[in-house]
Amino acid sequence: MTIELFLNGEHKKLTAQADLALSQVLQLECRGVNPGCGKGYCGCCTVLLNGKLTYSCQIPFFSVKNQSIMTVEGIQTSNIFSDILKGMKRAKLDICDYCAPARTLSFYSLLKRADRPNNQEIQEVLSSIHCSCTHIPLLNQAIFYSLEEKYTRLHG
Amino acid sequence: MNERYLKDKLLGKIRYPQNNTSKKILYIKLICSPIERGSIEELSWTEPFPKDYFLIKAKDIPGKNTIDFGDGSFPLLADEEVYYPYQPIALLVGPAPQVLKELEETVKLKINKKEILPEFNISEQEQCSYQREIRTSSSDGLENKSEIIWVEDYFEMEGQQHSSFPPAHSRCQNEGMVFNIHCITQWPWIIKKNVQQLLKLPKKMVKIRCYPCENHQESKIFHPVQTASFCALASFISKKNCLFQINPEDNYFYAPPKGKVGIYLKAACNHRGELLHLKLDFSLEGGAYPLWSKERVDRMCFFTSGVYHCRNLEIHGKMQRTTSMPTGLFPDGDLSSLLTSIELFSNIMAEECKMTPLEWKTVNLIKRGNGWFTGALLARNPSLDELIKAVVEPSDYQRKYSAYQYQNHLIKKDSSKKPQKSKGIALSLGCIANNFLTQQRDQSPATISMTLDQQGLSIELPAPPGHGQLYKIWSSMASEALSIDENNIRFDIYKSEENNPEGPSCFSRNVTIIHHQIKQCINQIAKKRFREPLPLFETRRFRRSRNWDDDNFKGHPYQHLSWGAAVVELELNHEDNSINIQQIYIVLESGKILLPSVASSVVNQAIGQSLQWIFKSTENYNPMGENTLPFNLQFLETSKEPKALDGLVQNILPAAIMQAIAQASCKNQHFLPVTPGNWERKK
Ligand code: FES
Ligand code: FES
Repeated sequence: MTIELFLNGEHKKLTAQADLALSQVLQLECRGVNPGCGKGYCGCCTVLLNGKLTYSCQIPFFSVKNQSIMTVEGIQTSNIFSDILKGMKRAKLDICDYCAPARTLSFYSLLKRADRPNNQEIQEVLSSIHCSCTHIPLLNQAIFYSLEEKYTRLHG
Repeated sequence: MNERYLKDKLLGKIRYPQNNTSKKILYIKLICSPIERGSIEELSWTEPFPKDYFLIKAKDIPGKNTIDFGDGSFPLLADEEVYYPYQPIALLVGPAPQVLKELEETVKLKINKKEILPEFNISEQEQCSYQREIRTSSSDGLENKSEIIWVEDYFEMEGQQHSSFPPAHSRCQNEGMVFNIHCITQWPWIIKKNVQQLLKLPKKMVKIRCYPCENHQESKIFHPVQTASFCALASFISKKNCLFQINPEDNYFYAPPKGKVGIYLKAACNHRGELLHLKLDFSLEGGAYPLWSKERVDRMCFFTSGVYHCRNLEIHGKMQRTTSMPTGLFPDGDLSSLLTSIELFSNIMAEECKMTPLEWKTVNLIKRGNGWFTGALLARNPSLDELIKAVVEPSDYQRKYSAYQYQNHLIKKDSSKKPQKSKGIALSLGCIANNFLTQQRDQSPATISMTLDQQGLSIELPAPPGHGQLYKIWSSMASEALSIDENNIRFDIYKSEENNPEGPSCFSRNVTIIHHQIKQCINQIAKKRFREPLPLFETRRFRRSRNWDDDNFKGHPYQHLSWGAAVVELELNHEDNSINIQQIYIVLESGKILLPSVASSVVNQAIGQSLQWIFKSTENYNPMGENTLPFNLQFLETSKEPKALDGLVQNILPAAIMQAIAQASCKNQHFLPVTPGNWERKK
C-alpha cells in the first residue's frame, strides 16, 4: 500500500506492505533508524511521532497515514542538535554508534520541551533506550552539559 | 573526540548489516527446540508453503553441518538430536516476517525427550570436555607443621551476560552465486571458512563485509558466525538476499552467556602471611558444546595465584558439558571469576593470619624477577605498589578499614546494638592479558601489510579495529613518518581475509598487536623510501610467542600484562537491604592510552557490566538510579605500548564490592550474583 505522511518535515508518499512495522519501512528510507529487537524492548528504533518519542517497531506502517514523523536527520540543522553535540563532546561521551541516533532524538525531545527538566524526566529519557553499553552516568552528564549549552545559547 | 566523527555517529551514518536492505529481502525465522534434550522424530508441515517461502532443515545443507572454531564445534542446525533448550532446528525463510510467524504454527515438530546431563557441579568428573592437571610441588611436607596456617574455601560464580546491542544481525547478498555476507565481526576469517564448508563453495565465492563493532564489548565470536551462516544458507537455497535479525522473543540470545564457574581453593601460609602453597580445583560450565575448552581452562591455570607470588601449586581444572547453550568467550576468558575468588580468598587468608588485607597483599605481591610457575620470569615490574598507593591514599582506605572493623568488633560483643546501617571498604587487585594461549595455526596469526605506491599508502588489516578513531591515529602516525597527505592513506580490511587464516589471535580488539605491527611497517617503509623504487611493500605477521609451549605449560605466553587496583566503599541498609555505593577508586596500568575518551568509556561500560553481574536482580541495586555513581578513574601510563584494557575492570571491581559487602555485613561472600540473602541479618 502507499500512504502519505510527513517525514522530517517533507511531504512523502511511501509504498510498502501494510502490515510491516514502521521501523522496517523507515530503515530503508533514512539513516537514523536502527531497529534492534523489533519488540519494543531496546528502543533503538525510536522516532518522534507527532513530536512524541515512539518505538517505531511497535507501530504498523498503515497507521501513520498523514502523521508527522521525525528521525534524527530531521533535526540535524536545529540549534538543539548542536547543543547536544557540544554537550556530548564536553562530557567526553563515546556514545555507542548503534543507538546514537535514538539517544540523540531522545535528548532532543527533552531539550525541546524543557529548560530545567527534573530528575524524573531525565530518568525517563535515559531509560527509554534499554541498553547499558553506553554508561548511564555519562549520558546523564551529557544531558546536563547539553542543557547548559542551550541555556548559554539562549541567555548568553 | 573528533567532532565530525561524533556528528556522523549521532546522525546514524555508521551503517549496519540490517541497513541498506532492499525491499526484496527475505527474512529468516528460527525454529528452535522447545525442550532441553531429545531426539527429533518429526519435522513436517501440513499445507504447502506459499511461493517464496522455504523451510530449511539440516538435511538441506549442501556441505558440512558444522560451525567449527578449531577448538570446539557444534551443528548449525540440529539434525537428529537436540542437546540444549532453544537449539536451532530449522530455518523458515520468506519475504514477510508476519507470514513466517503464521507458518511457524503450521510446522509440526515432535521431539522425544531424553535424559539430560547432570547439572553443573565441581565434583562431576564424567562430562569433561577437557581437563588439565599441574603440580609443581606437593603439600606433604607442610601438612604436619604446626606453625602453618591452612585455609580452604569454595566459591561459585554465575556467568555474566552481555546485554548490549547491537545484536549480531547478518545479511547475505546473493550476487550471481557470490555470497557477500554483511556482519558485525572481528573474525571474518572464521566466518568465511565456516560458510565455505557449509555450502561447499570455493574461497572466492564467499566475501565478508565487516561492520564496525566499536564500543560494544567484543568477544562475540560465535554469534556472528552462526547468524552469518543462517543467512548464507538461506540465501544459497532461496537464491535471494536474506537477512537474519536476532530477536529475543525467539529465545535466541543477543550474546552468548558465560557459564558457571566453581572454584575450590586451599592455601598454606606461614605466620608472616607468606603464601607457601596453593591448591586450586576449578570447573567451568561449557554448555552442550564446549567451545575453546583448552584455551579457557589453560588461561585460568596460568593465573592460578592471581597477582600473588606462589610457585608451589597444585592445579586441577576442567570444563564440564551440561544441557545448556554453548557458553561464549569473553575478553578475559573466565578470569574474572577466578581473580574475584582469589581476592575474596586472600581476605579470608589475611584474617586467619591475623593481618589486614593490605598487609597480606603487600607481603605476597608478585614483583619483577618473580618467576611464574611455568618457568618464565616477570620481566617488567607490574608497579602494583604504585597502584595500591594510588587507590589507598585518596580513599583513606587504611583508616576506614580499621574503623569499620572496630564497629564489627563492637557488634560482635553486644549484638543488641546492631546499627541500622553499616559500612564496608575493600581493596582489590587484578590483572589481564590478551593473546590466545593456543598455538593452533588458525587461531593465532594476525597479519598487517602495507604498500606505498604513486597513489599513496594502503594498509591492509585482518579485521576492523576496536574503534573507528584508531584509523585516524594510524593515518596520522603514517602521515607524519612518511610525509604523505592523510587523504592518500587507505585502509582495507577485506582483502587480507581472502587469503590468510586470521584467527582471533588476541582479545582487546587486536589493538595491542596491530598498533605495534603498523608502527613497525611504517618504520620499515620509511627506511626503504628513496632508496628503493616504488611500490614498496611491507608485511608483519604476528604469531604466538616462541617462548611458550602450551602442551607442557612452559614459558611465557603473554607479551604484555595489564594491572589494576580498586577501592570500594559502600553502605548497607539493614532495614530495606539496599546497598549504597559511596565511592569507587580505580587505577589501571594498561600501557599507553591511545584514545583517552574511548578508554574511559570502556571503563564506564565495564563498571556497568560488573554491577549487572554482581547484582543480577537489580531490585536491591539499581544502576540506572545511580547515575551519580561516585567513581574516580586514573590511568598510570608506565609503558609506551598499548596493552589490554577490555575486561580488566571486571577482574577487579566485583571482588572489591563483594569484600566491602562482606565487611559491612560481617559475612564472607562466596557466591555471585550477590543477593540480599547473602548479606541479610537474621531477624
Ligand atoms: S527495535 Fe524497536 S524497540 Fe527494539
Ligand atoms: S546499543 Fe547503544 S548503548 Fe547499547
